[in-house]
Amino acid sequence: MTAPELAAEMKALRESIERLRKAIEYLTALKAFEDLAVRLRAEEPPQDMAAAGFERYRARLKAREART
Amino acid sequence: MAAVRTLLAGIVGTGGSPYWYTPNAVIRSPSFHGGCLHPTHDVVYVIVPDRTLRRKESTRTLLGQVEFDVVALKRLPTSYADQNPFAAAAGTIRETYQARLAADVEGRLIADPTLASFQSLGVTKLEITSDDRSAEDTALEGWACAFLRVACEYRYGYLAP
Repeated sequence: MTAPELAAEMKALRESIERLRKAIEYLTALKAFEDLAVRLRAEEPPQDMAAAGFERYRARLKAREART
Repeated sequence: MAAVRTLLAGIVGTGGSPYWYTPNAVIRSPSFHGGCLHPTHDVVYVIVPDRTLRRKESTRTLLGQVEFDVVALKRLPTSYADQNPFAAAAGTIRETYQARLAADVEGRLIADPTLASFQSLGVTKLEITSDDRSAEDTALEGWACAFLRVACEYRYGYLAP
């Protein structure tokens, strides 16, 4: 292998390593994001549909009263 | 509101003449929430207070108006399927239950034009000012629900509120 060929091979290898490093960074970030989503879902209290509906009803009632 | 509670608790359902459903419970609650949906009760009324307005009417009397909501709830039958309105049999859609609940409350509170049950409290006017059955507010899984707005006017002397 000649010196220019060796240099080209080394350059290609460095580029491959760089691409792998970026892929690992991306996967690590993705995993952290997924873990966060799982944790937030676990912490989120179940929504009280009855209370939410009643709050919407009262808010709409007050808004209508305010307009008249 | 205690008088309203007593009146509603006295409803006896007889297939729509005059009332549809006998309530299992009539409760007063500072707000309406999932805890009001009793696990075994079939029909529940929840009285939720709102504001009270007062103004001087004469040198000796005050005119007050108290507003509150009656949340009327009826557990839907287990066979109920509102996902397919074409398949729903006549008389079993959610709105039918809501209309019957509203009719029961209205009949019990308003049908008595003399306000006999409230006269000792100085009540001069009692009306249902709105009736909300909209899906976006009242859709609860397994329940038919209607929100009825009630306004009650009353007079009282300064010395005997």
